Amino acid sequence: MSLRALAASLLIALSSTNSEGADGNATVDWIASSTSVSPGESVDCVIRIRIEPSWHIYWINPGEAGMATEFELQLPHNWKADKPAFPVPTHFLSGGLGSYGYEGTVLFPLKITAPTDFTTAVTLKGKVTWLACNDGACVPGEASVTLLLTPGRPVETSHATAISDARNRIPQAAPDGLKMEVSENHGQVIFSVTSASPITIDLTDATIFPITPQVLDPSQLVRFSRSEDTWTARITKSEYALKPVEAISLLIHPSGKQSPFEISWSVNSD
Amino acid sequence: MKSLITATLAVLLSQAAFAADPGKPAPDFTGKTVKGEEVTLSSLKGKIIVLEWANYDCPFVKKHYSSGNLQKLQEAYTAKGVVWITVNSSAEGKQGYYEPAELAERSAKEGNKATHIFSDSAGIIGKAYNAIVTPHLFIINKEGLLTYNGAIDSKASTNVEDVVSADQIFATALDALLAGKEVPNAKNQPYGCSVKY
Repeated sequence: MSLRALAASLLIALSSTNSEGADGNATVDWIASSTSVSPGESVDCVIRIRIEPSWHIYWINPGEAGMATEFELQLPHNWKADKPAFPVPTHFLSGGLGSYGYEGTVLFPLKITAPTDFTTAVTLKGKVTWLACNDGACVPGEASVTLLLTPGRPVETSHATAISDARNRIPQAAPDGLKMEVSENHGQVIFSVTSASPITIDLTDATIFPITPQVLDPSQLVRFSRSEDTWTARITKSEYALKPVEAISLLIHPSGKQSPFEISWSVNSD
Repeated sequence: MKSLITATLAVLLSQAAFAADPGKPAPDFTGKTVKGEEVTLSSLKGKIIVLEWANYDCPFVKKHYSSGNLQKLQEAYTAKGVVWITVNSSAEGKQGYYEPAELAERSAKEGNKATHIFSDSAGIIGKAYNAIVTPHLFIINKEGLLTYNGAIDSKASTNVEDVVSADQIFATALDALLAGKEVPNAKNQPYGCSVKY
């Protein structure tokens, strides 16, 4: 092979490595509200994904195309962590298909608990995989992230407020006494949300996101309407969901200052 | 008026969506191969046909080509008399678009073993079948009826390691058709990148 041909093939190899886009048009880091934690205590942190403008990544249910963002944590012996929580996504059309995901900067909160015998500094490791898409392309992303924690009294970092705000915004369990019934009629799935006690929840303009994938048609966002003490939403069933709906979970994000919450139904609990 | 337009649009959309339902006649097409030939569905009557939507730059498609999975399926089923057509519906300027000659070259580089490779950059065939993602697989039986509309397998990931452990939904359906049995899972939701129309 001539030197010129070698140089050319090297260039091709280099450029194809770049076009692989393994960086997924986003940068990821793992930040904590404190750089130190006392033995047996917990520290709030977030996995932060900063997505390049005009690109988006996907929620736990990506919708009709795309892929859920995934986290894999490797913790030393006796360390505990809850799964990074997915904040409320946005709904958009990607290549004409209904999708759920995020743009800009997204914070996925999680709590880490140190073991009672925590005496020397540790570096926690994690891996994040995602798919970034815009209208014209999709590229995969993968990043390794680390978090250094030292034993000792907590010392707030500059991220503490943002982390606590992010934690306060993550979806909660459904408010006490709230119940959801699900039925089907002519290709529509009908959700009825009622409250055991006098209704205090206002679902006017609430946004509905199906956590369970491949049941509802994600092409449009549907609102609740109120009749007496029942909030009802009719959502078109996915054309690929051929069996009767047996179980489904929704994320409901009411407008205003009410917290987003998750509510589930299954045919067995009827 | 707006609601009338919306309603009309909804009807049109639902017709487009359900035009490609198993049991219905497969939408006719005239495809242009990367070699410049025209292939019509009617000319293939009496054969089992597979339509595979591909965009070589989509991470989900890459998973099935870099693992050799799609080439293996293409080779195995064309050997059994199946006509396998890879369709590229990426529009000019979007990811996965190649001029026909480049598409032929890229397909050869990927080791594509399909009978034909269609360049469908206007998205005409893609929209007729309501191909929504890449990969998205369709099977047409010898009578010209659509028999399968769905995923290549059960694991909606871009991870090559998942190819082996996934349920082979598409291959199971094609095996059943070839054996003269009822096709299981004839319609299921495919996963992938949106088709870059």
